[in-house]
Amino acid sequence: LVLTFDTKHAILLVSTTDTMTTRLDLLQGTLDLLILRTLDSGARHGWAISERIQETSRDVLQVNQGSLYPALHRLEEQGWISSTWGVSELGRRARFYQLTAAGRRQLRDEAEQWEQFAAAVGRVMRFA
Amino acid sequence: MSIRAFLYRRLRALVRRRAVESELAEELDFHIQMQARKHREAGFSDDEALHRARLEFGNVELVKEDARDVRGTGPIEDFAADVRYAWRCLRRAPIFALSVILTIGLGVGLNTSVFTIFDAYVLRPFDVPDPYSLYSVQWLDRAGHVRDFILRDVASFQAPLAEVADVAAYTTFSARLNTLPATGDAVSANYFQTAGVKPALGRTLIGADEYSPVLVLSHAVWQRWFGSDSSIVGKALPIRGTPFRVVGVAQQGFDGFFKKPRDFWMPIAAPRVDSSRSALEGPVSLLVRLAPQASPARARAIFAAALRTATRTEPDSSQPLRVFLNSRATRIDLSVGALFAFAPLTLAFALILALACANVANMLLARGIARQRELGTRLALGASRSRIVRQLVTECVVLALPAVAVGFAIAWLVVRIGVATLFATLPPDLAGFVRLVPLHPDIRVFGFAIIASTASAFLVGLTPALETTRLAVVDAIRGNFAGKSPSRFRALLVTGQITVATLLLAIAAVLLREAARLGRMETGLRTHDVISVEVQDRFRSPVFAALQQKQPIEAIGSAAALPLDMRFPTTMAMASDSTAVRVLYNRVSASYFDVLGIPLVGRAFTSAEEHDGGGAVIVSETAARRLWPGVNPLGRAVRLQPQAAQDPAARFKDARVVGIAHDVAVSSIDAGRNRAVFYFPQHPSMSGCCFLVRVRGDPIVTKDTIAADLDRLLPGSIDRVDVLDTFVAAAVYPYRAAYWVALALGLLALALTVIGVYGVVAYVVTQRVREVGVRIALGATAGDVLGLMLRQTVRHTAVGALIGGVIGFGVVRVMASEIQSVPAFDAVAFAGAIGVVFVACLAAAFLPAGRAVRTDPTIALRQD
Repeated sequence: LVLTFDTKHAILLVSTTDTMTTRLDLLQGTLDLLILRTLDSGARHGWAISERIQETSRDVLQVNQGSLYPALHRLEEQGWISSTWGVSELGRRARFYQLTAAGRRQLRDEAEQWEQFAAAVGRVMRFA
Repeated sequence: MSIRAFLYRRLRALVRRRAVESELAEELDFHIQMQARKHREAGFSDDEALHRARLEFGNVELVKEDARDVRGTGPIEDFAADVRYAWRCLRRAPIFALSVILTIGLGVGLNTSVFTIFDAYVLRPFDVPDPYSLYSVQWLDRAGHVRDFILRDVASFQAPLAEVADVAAYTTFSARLNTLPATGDAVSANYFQTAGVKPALGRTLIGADEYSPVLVLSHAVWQRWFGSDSSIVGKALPIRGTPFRVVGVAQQGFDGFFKKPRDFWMPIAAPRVDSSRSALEGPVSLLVRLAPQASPARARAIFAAALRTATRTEPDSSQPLRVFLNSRATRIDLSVGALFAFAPLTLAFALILALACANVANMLLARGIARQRELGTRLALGASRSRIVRQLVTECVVLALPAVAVGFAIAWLVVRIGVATLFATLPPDLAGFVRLVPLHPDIRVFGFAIIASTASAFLVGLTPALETTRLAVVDAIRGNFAGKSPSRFRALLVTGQITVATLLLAIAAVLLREAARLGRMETGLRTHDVISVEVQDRFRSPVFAALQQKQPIEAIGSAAALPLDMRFPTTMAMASDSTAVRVLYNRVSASYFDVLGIPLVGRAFTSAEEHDGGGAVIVSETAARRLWPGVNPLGRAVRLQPQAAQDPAARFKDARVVGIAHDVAVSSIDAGRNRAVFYFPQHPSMSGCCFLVRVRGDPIVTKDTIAADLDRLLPGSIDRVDVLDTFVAAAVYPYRAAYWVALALGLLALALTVIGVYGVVAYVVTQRVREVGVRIALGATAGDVLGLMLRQTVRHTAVGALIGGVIGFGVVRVMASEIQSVPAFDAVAFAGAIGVVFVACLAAAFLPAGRAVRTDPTIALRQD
């Protein structure tokens, strides 16, 4: 197995210490992957995406709002997700994002790469 | 995302910017509301919940900015903002904006007018189907002569080329049509089919017309001379005395394939009464239309092969070496040669544009300096230098667009006025011969105006923008702009302007003196009351008889070659005891010397000599000096050595000198150069000469009555009737026209330069006001201050005039080598031009410098 060290995954996580728990800020490439994965289970608006990521990571991963929306717009530009205006649980107009077919393919590729990468890092940690 | 969706989003982001922005704001606000709800549910108060949500979210504007960047419309939005900003800035400074627009507009307009001419001749294709498949053909023989084809041979090209191309033949033909001088083409019957020209009325020429006297008129002639009379078809018009039936009018806009528009077309084999030899032997040009799949190279090869067959019996030197195929899509084939032909005019006008640009650059520089506090503030607020440069350049481009309109209007005006002036100032006799190509602006001209405006605005805007943004933030905010470089740049601009003004004025001065010299020149001939009448040979006797009976005519003579108009032929002459001398010769009637007022020593020809050639010759004084130095040549014998068998002088072998004629000019630009000329006798009734009549009263009026009478009595008998003065005027006219153009450009250049000089000195004066104040306080006199302020201008002018003079010297040298009679160096003209530039520049500097002298030291020193 030849692993290509893609810069986008190479510097993956930066740990920051918080008073309450140890939270990890996400870096760009990873955020894209997480957004795509979160939308795989259905359309959500921006806030729901960030909540969902935080929830499923048991509060370890905290999405920086400042990078969430530019990331959503960028993914939309790339054609991996699309957006429609719908009605939210507040009864207000909200923009819902969903995966496109291209996004689904992208998610599959990125997930696979991620698995390989995590496995490789794990092996190094165990045996080096 | 598909390209379409991508473009749709971009376009929506641009066009519906406000909607996109509000959607973004709504989306972000929704997020904060949701977060606040979460905090409320966790037990915070409403305010606290919202506050926490906002805090967590961070800077909303920053997020918006990032989201906008993602959309990729940033540069365009920046540009739009720049345009809005520029518009506001310029509205605040309308005088500045107007002067920039007018200056660039003027420069661009003048250049666009030149481009209009270039376009009409070189770029605009003929209005026929697929003009780019049309070619003309010529060939080069082994002796190095470019040759035309013989009509007889044309059929031998048509057959082998049938697969590849259509071949039509034509030859130019001038005659009076409807009593006016006209130029047409005698064409083969397939000419119109080959060219793809349709009739506007009636029909064009067809195969059956080959030998019949029929005529197709050009649309312009039909409109102007016949008032668009649709009953013209079927009528007969006399051409050289033969009635030609009009069969049709060619489509509008078609006037042949030449620089000079054609007035009519007739069959090439139609009875052309003048032709001494059969039309089949005459030289013709070929018009070739290549078939769509055929290559010019293949056509060339077939031509070469056919030519070799046609010339196989001829000597080696007449064998073909090369065949040329030149595009006939435009009047002048776009080539290096064509570009060179336009280069002098283009360069002169481009220099004016450069001058205008220099002035605008100067203005912008001054404005940039005035705005430095603003720029400094923006730099301090974090604008990058490139962002500010982009903003300043945008300002220039915003100015360029109205300049396009101004330039286009000026170009249109200049062309209209230029054409009107041309016809108004042409000698009236000549105007009838001049045909201009329609000079209407088209899409190419408009494109040129846009490109020229934008390019000059860009160039002009960029340098000052780079110069003025090169400042330290701290200094700029304090308003301390003591930076030296802008003023050095401005000095450079002004010196360049002075160079160009000197150059153009020097050339104008050289041309002025040349036109004046030619206007003053003495031909030694009576030209003001002598009229030349060129006739068809078969009308020679009746016209001669009619002229002899006309009242206001004092004397009638004749000449084979019209003095001042035609080139005299040459032959070799040998006195019994001298070497052969090359002499010009003419065949003239006995009365020639009397009619033209040429003093004669000895006697004129006798009537017998006029009729049989009689071995008599009259020689010019110069010829006498060369052949018989120091000896009276009267009665001496001379032997002539004709150079070729077809030389008409061949029949004069041995002659005896019977008279000596005073030296006179043989051509209009040749005055003062004495030529060796032989005059042989020839009676006016003999073929191949034109009549010269001296008249009483107003020669122009008499000329017109003679022409009208002959047209009535003997329709089609005369080819041309001219007052001899016309030939003198015609020779001087191009110089006069070139001089007027050069003078106009030179004065314009000077005006722009004066403005530039004024601007620079005015700026320097305000910059150095404190220094001047100190100097005056310390006791400097008005003269000292004036000297201080003018010193720089004197230096710039000296450098500029020197460079301009040197370049001008080179340009005039080139002109002198191209145009006969222009002197290679004209010290008076150069001194005059440089003097004018010096006076004008010093005068321009004097005004603001005078302000410096009046500086009040107490006020000046209190500044800041």
